[in-house]
Amino acid sequence: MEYWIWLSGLRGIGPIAQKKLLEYFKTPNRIYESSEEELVTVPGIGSSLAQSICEARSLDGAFSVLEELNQKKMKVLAYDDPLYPDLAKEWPEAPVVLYYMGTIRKSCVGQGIVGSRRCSAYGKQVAVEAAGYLAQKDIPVISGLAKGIDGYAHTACLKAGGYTIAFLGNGLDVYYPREHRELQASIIENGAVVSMYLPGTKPRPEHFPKRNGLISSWSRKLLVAEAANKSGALITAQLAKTLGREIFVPPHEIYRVSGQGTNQLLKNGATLYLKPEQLDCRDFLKEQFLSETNETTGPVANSRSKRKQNRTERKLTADEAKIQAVLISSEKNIQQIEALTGISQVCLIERLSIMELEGVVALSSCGCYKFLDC
Amino acid sequence: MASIVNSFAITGVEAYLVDVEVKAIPGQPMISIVGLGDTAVKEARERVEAAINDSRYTFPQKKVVINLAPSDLKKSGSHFDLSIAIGILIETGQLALKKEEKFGIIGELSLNSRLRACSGILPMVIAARNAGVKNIIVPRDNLREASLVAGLQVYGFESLKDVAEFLEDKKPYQADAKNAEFIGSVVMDGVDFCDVQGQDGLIEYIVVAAAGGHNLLMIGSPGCGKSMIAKRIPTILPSMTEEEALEVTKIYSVAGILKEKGGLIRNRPFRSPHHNASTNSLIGGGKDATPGEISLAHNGVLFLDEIAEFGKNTLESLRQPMEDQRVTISRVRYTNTYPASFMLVAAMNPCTCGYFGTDRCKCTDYEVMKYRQKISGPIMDRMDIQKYVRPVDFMDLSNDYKGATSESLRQRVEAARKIQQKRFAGIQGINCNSQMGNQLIKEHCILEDDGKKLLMLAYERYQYSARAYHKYLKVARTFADMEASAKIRKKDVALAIMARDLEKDRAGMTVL
Ligand SMILES: Nc1ncnc2c1ncn2[C@@H]1O[C@H](COP(=O)(O)OP(=O)(O)O)[C@@H](O)[C@H]1O
Ligand SMILES: [Mg+2]
Repeated sequence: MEYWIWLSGLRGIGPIAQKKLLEYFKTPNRIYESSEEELVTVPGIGSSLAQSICEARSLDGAFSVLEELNQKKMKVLAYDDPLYPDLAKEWPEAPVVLYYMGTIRKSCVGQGIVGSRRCSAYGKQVAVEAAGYLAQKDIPVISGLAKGIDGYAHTACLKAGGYTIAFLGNGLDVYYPREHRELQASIIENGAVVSMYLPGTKPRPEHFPKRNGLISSWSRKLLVAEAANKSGALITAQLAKTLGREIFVPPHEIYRVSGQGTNQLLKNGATLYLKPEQLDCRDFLKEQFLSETNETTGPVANSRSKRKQNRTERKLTADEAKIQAVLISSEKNIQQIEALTGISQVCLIERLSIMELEGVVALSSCGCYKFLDC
Repeated sequence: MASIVNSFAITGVEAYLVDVEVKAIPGQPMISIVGLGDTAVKEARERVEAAINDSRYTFPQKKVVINLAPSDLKKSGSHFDLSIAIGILIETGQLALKKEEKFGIIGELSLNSRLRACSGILPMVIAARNAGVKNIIVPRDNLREASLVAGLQVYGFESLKDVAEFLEDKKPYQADAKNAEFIGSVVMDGVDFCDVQGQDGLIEYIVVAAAGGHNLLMIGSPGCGKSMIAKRIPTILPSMTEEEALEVTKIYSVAGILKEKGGLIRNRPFRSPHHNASTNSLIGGGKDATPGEISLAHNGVLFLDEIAEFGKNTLESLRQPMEDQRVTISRVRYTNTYPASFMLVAAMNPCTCGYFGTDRCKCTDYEVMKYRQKISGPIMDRMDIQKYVRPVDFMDLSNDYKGATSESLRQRVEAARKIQQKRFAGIQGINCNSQMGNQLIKEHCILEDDGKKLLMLAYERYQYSARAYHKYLKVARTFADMEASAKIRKKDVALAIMARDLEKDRAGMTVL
């Protein structure tokens, strides 16, 4: 393992050149032991590079890294590890060494969910619903532990008992953002937190594009829940596109700044995302075939029908019918309902309380009631 | 034999009889006061000497020892001046006592022998009556306050000389004509609930909170009217019983902030300390362990605007008093217990940016939860009613819109309170629904069948704890009282379930 760490830590040699060397020498210790003359024969390795590789021939650094990893209960995922997903290797810049905490399971590639740090309730809802769905299907949720969409995706997945992987742009022992410290701990319990950076590495702006590359490369499909114009999620989408991954994007209102980046993705050919079933993991043909017939099953539809059962069947009172009539077109707050129905607020609260309990209406966080048609 | 005069000392909001014993013995001229008096008591000798000389009496050229008995209890205050001065005059034979009855004497002396008003008159006069003292002498400015206590004769004077001549029967007492019974009236500074537009639904919960004494939390974005509504709460509070009014007046008397020269406080107090108030000023303290805002809000409302901005420790210090309905303050010199049974009304923003629930808010769920956790669980738990205040869209309102007036709301509150007073008559310390314990809840919160069904539905749906369940029952009880219904109806349950918006909010949060 020390040779792997030595290889990944070589200065001036990026993952692409590292992999060229691996291809030629097969193992990192053979690279370590080879002479300068032999190194130059590898395509893409010039004499100066070869020289610097030879000069760096010491394992001291690697050993102390290993010791630190050991102490901090961090594990190494090397490029030749059977757990290193082939899919992830499609990315030319895939690092030869990854550090992680938690468990990398056998089938760990999943679907990525990314988006803005500062997201709207809509973006959040998209991420939460998708992650919950994937968790139920035991499909890993891949994301980046950032505030906002990332955090919601991981959290919703864990809450639904799913497996999730978070890629960081900093060392595994650096908590960024701070508010996700607990979240990080529970991801370690029920998934993995992965980074290409050594312990102690601070988050730096230049780390995040690479982190995004990891998210894209470990995902079969990528859901961009919400992104404004210059959001980092767009970089993830860009990389995913180069890797040929399908990108799913929910539509956003065209006047709203928070969804302009995602709408642009749609315009550029991303798949229109309308329901979580689109994130299912079947091969392309099967998916085409099943998509029509499968419409009504799946957990979301199930929960809807469950709600229907819960709903007390009874005739609505006259007031309730009036309320229903004004809510059918769009959700409204209590003052609007009062203005439209002429029913006093206190009576409305009484009715709405009962209707909410019976599952006829639902209250949103902005204080608006909407009619639930089943 | 020493000369003995009666006065009083205060601990907390209670007072007890003190014998002021004065003995003049041959020796170096000096005056010494013993009996655990504080600095204010000790300094009495300077004021007394000046006042005696000023009134053309002579201060004895002897050693004067004054003992305040019982001598093992700490005493504080400047109100012993007058009793000490009278004691010295009697002891030195300059005052020949003609009255035969026992007199209680209270008052601070100025250097030119005028009598100054003191704090704590009310509890001292009550103590006098309880000790069987039938006559009491106070500074004229305290006369009204002292007269609040029935069953003894109160005399108000302006100077040491007046008091001395009265005791010698040289001059008859002249009652102050101005001392007609003071009628406290409900004067509010012109605010009324009908100024608040389009919030009828919310106001109903405010009314219920006032009627049942339920603690109330309002959450809403800046400018949505939280402070405006809170300011109007005093206009709908039920009037106080005689007993409650006396309790409140006692506290203000001890705190030395009795206004209107000591009339009975008839309006429920409404205190709104600022969020950078210190813990001491809030719960009481300082070197004399004086009452704090929570005691000044006794039987009334403590309003904490922007509650999330209060110091964590300051808020935490409210917990015990809220539990006990009184507060005990220990200082090196004193330990005082003051009543502190108040209705807590608080207002806060829903999140750091203030706009949670609107498109403007970009706080993450974690940040929102963190912000709300500034108010600790136990305090939040005591907020029976937690309502969102949604901003009113004035475009939706017609111009001639007028809400209910404070007066009409207050009458409803009053009616509901009457029912509660009847219900809890004879139960010590319980005046309103919010104070019910589990036993009383079981006894008084009887649900009609369909009400029970609805509550069970909510119980299953939201997975209430037993505690939360009881909370809803108490609020539902008050809703029923508002319409004088003996049993709790489905309607009351439906409304009570909507009383805790924050609890529902929590279910929608995506946090671990
Ligand atoms: N429902 C309402 N009816 C009438 N005026 C309102 C209402 N809500 C808010 N206002 C106006 O907005 C002002 C700001 O309200 P305020 O109580 O200070 O808000 P908050 O304390 O919630 O920040 C009020 O003084 C009042 O003029
Ligand atoms: Mg305010």
